[in-house]
Amino acid sequence: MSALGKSYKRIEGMSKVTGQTEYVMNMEMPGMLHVKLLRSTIPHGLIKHIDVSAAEQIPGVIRVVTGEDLKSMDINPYYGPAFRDQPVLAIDKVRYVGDPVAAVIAEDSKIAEDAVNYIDVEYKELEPVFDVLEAAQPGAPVIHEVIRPAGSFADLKNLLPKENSNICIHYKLRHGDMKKGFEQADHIFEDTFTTPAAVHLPMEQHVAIAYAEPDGRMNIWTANQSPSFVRSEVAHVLKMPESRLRVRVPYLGGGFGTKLYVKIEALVAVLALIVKKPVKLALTMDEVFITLTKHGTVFKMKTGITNDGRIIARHCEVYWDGGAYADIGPRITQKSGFTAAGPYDIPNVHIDSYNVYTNKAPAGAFRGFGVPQLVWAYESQMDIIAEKMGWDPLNFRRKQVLTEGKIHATGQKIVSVGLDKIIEELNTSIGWEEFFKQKQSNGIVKHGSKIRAKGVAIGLKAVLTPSISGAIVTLFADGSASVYCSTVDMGQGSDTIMGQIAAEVLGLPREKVHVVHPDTDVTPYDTITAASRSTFYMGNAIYKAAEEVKNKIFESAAEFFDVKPEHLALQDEKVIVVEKPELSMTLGEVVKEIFHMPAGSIIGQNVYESHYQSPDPETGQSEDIAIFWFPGGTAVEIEVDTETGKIDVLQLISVGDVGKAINPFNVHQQLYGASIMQLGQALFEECIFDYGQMINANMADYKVPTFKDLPAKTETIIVEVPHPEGPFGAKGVGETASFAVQPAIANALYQATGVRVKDMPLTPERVLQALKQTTNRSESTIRDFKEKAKG
Amino acid sequence: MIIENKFEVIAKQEDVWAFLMDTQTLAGCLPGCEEVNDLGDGVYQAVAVVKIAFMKLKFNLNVQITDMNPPQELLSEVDGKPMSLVGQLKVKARMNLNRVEEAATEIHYHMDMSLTGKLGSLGQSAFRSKATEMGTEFAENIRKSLELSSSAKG
Repeated sequence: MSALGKSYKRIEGMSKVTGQTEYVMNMEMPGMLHVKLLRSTIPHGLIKHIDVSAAEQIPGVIRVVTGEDLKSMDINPYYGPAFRDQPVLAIDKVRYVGDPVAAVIAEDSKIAEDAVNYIDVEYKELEPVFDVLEAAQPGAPVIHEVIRPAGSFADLKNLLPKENSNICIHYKLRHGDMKKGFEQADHIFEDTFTTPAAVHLPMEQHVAIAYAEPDGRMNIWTANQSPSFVRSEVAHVLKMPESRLRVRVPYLGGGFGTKLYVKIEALVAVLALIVKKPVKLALTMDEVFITLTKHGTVFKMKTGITNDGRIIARHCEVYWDGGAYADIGPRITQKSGFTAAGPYDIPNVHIDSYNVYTNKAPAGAFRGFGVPQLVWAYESQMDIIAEKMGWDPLNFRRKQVLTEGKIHATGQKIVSVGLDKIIEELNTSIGWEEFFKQKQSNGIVKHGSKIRAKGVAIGLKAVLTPSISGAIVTLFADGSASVYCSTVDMGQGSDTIMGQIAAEVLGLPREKVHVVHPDTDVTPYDTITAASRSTFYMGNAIYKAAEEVKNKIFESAAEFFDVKPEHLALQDEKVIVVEKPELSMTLGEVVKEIFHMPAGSIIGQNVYESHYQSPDPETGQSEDIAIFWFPGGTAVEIEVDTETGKIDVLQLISVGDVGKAINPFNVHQQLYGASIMQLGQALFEECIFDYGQMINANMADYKVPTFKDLPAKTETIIVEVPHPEGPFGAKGVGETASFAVQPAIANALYQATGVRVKDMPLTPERVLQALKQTTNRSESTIRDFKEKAKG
Repeated sequence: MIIENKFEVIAKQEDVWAFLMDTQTLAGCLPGCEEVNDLGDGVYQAVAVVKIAFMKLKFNLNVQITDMNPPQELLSEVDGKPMSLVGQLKVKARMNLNRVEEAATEIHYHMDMSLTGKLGSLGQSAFRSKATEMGTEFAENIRKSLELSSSAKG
């Protein structure tokens, strides 16, 4: 074992910190034109007329393209991963403030930006709907009259949208007997929790360049997390074979979900076809805000418990505010929806999860893929129940947490999920037991206006299943190697890890392995770079492709040494006979042996595909719904100022079960990054809308964590419960530390003040208001608590 | 965005109402108002200029009176488009005249204003402070004209 478990530094680290890394944002092409977009100023309406004549007369403007132009082209103008509901440019109708209506193509971006102001659009306004619950009601203004399922992904091909409704998917899970469950309960708790829309804000904005070769072959360079999907979806839009389209992705300056699927790629490709020149569209940060958001949610949760501390029944009703276009919302509604009851062994569970259109910016994938919104609700309620019943909240969790071999509400048996270990790590690292005992006997101590307390929470996510990753590993004649894969290195360090896996199998030093960046002409299909799936799926594909190379080497060397292949090993760039280490040959010598000259390459390939059983559409039951599950937990100590409502997080501890940390340093960084990103979501991040317009869509008004918001102490703890199918036992880690930050802080706030906030984020204003309301109320803050008399 | 204010003028409720119903006198009191045309049926077209920091925005405004109850209440809807800037301004306005005493009236206005497009991204706080400033100027102008004309009458 040479490369495994070593904390290699990022291979691109030096190039990034010295400003040498190539991003699409910096790319130029000879004769390249620039694009700026005119966006809808109304939330819902019909386009009556667009006058582009004044804009087209401005010197330097080449062309203004509108939905009318698309109608006259032989293309499929709608795209989307779940439903093909999003037009390349608005056709006849706009659905949110910010919907692209016209594209100005000009010699430079300043000219294009100016010309946008001279396009005149006349709309017929339609009644908009902004609230997710109102939009779900019958009789609400209908945002999409026709919905076209996309059928691109196996797990989404059965989607059946309701006509004349904004509910584009209703996912159902039925497990056990709900009625009986609630009858057996001694107490029933009902709460509603909400989370707002928020945004990803990668440092690099969405940007793409498209160029059609003279014979029409299309080239796209894009900052995108899913090059294979861009190829197939844009090929569909252009009515082109996939082989006529080439998508390349260099390093990304962050993605976090906002650069998944098609965002601006279909548009730039269509514009490049129209003007027959390279075109570049780079969104501004303000536009990034309204391109994709995180789903706002309303989660109504009803839980039945018994006096001996068991959850016996739980009903979850979750509404996902999808905004104007479904994007990947239907998959979030389903795949995260089925985890809504929490990581607990509950005999009776019902889940109803709805993805709903509203006239706001579209929502889609956001690091955690909906799970943090759900954990917010179920882990808040765990503490509400424990407090009311006088139980230790950590013990309450211990009592029903899913452990090895238990059956999840989906019907799948739980394998390799170290939730119990995570709970123990949380307990010891934050000193929960002592804190809770101290609080029970002496209460909470107040220092002036400030109070300190601790809180914990856990969460569980299922990885995207089914999905596919393909990889090719090539060993060159000099003993170095390349890995060809479509995993996008977006800052998570995948180039480092993927190379490490191949190096480990081939017995090479990490430096001798190069990872080729996604280029759909060269690198095989990969579903997406997201969902904490790459180390597992792509890691497996690379592992197996490298094994194929290794087997070819062994085959040749076995013949040479006249031994069996199983007697050989790869070590320090040599093949050795294990029993007689003095018998060895270099990899170069092996190549020479195979090809009879010092040239040629040894190639291995693998397409790794998950096993999967589609859930029953009525009950959501499946014995094989996710190839692996990965849990995470958070413990915090906070200090809240009761005069200002401001929360300072003093300690932030993230624990994740990653199966096997292939590169421990990278794993710690992923845990740390996710927890800090989520800290912003917990304390202040929120998109604010006024009549559909996002009014804080800029970096001055929308707060993200800065250095002064960082906790005094942060800790990341790796738990390793190896997965039998993972490469070296590894699972995913990119989202693990995002799950439980929000409820951990809210639970600590509750321990500190007795105030229960059920709406995110925990801004000083909201906390202060809640503190004032509580002091005015003599009753418990748990207004929904219902006690049932036992006969 | 809600913008609300009230101020008192030394004039009779009926006089204040009549003053505000006269398109041209009202236009004279509205800060930045360059022209107003009465199209009949309670519909007006106006052009107004607003300076916000270094920006000078010229608006085409459509005003529709949706309900009135003389001399107490006036409801209107305003639709505005800035010239050479992508955006839209929409206002639902309510104005109430309350009799304080025989010759004193309180003018109370309440506007629910939304700004979209690039106009909306300029920042609500800038617009709010501008609107407050314009409200003060509007009150001053009305007081001056009304109190001057009533004292001239008296």
